[in-house]
Amino acid sequence: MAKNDEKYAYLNRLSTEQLEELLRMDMEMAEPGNEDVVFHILEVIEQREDEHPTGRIPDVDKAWAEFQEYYNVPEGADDSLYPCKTETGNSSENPAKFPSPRTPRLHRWIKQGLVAVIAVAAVFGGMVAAQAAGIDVFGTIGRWTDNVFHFMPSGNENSTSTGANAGEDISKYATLREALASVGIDENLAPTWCPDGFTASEPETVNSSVGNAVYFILSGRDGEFISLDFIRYHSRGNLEETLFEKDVKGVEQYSNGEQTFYILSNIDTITATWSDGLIMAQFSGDTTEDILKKLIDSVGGR
Amino acid sequence: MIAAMMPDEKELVERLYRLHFKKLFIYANAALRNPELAKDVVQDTFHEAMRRIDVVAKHENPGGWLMNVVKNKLKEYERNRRRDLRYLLSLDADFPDESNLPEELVLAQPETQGEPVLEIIERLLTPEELRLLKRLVFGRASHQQVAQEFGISVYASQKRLERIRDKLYTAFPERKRQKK
Repeated sequence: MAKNDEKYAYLNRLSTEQLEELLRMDMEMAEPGNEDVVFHILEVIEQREDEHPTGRIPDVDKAWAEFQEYYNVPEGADDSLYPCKTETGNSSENPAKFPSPRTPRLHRWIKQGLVAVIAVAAVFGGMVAAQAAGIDVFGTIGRWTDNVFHFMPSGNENSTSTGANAGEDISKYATLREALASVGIDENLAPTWCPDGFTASEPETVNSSVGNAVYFILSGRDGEFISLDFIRYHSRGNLEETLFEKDVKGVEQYSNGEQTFYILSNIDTITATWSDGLIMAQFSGDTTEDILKKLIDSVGGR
Repeated sequence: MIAAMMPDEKELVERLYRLHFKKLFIYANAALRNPELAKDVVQDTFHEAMRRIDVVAKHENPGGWLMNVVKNKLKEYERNRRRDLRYLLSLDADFPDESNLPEELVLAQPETQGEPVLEIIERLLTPEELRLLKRLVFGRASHQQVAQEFGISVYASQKRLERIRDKLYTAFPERKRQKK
């Protein structure tokens, strides 16, 4: 479970209402594969309620007493209030585990949907329609309003990644580089510098109808995190449809000499994102602009 | 029933209840946005666990089994409720509320053949059955709430709902055939 906590730590930034929305999505998707995420979300909500009770969860002792009084009665011996199919009990027929044991990364397919949505929603807190224009820059045009940012792919694409400043932490990103290569993303997009005191997670690869993604987390000693997400979209349309919620602060452009990243914030989360029209990289977390810029500078370093 | 169970099975159910109730409730409440209904579904899930204790006791992941049951019950609840609403609303749609129609449209409405549908329903169901149907389907009340309001057991509430559905389908077989 410790690995799950680290892997989904960014979910802790979402409000309880947002987490409940994700649970509803899981229910609507009705697909296996999200058990780890769902379990983590349930734990987060339960823990919050334990620490700051709001009354939204019934008291277990009282519920147990009601169970004994109203449900565990002779009349209901053969009845069900909400009849449905239940499993026969052959564990080999039960695809859903709660929580599920981790399977080898390369043999594990995670369905697009909940995990991919969470990856964006966790940082940006939801999606809203974009309405305004940004400015024209080389590479992919970024457009934003007070509330939202998105990329508008242009014909001017530059997907090379020879970073300005090679960092000394390139070995920490070895597995990330492998994962990027495995989905057809230039591994030199990975940073080569890591802030002090941060440890790297195992990258997670998600293949979906929208694109192929690699998710990677740097975790600090005191629970801080920096999420590094790389997505190779199947089409420019998919990239264009990806919308990022932001606060009213302006968007800064920062270049490492090869890629120009857009730096934006959403309350207490800061994000730097770059795209060449099909591939998008985003570095985000509860960190400083300075650290993000150093990560950007180290991209492509050898 | 727990009273008829072996002591270790009884302990198992209670242990599973205390371990998983909150998480199952959180999930059900997120799906239903209705705490009383969510609690009803979760209670029914543990009741299911008791009835299937032979399966649960040997299962390698009883928490996962419980979660699957909750999800299945939630799906069935939504499916049945939508079916009931579609059924009731489609019955009503054939005989629109004339008080909202302009006079010329009212005069132009074809004459109904025989007894109006709504009157048939009111004739078929007792006032209490009609009230129960409205509470459960339109009001999204839990069986526990209805049981307390009507002074009956939760299982009586459920059986009455099934009887009401059977009555409606028997009286309006054309509706049932259309849905097929």
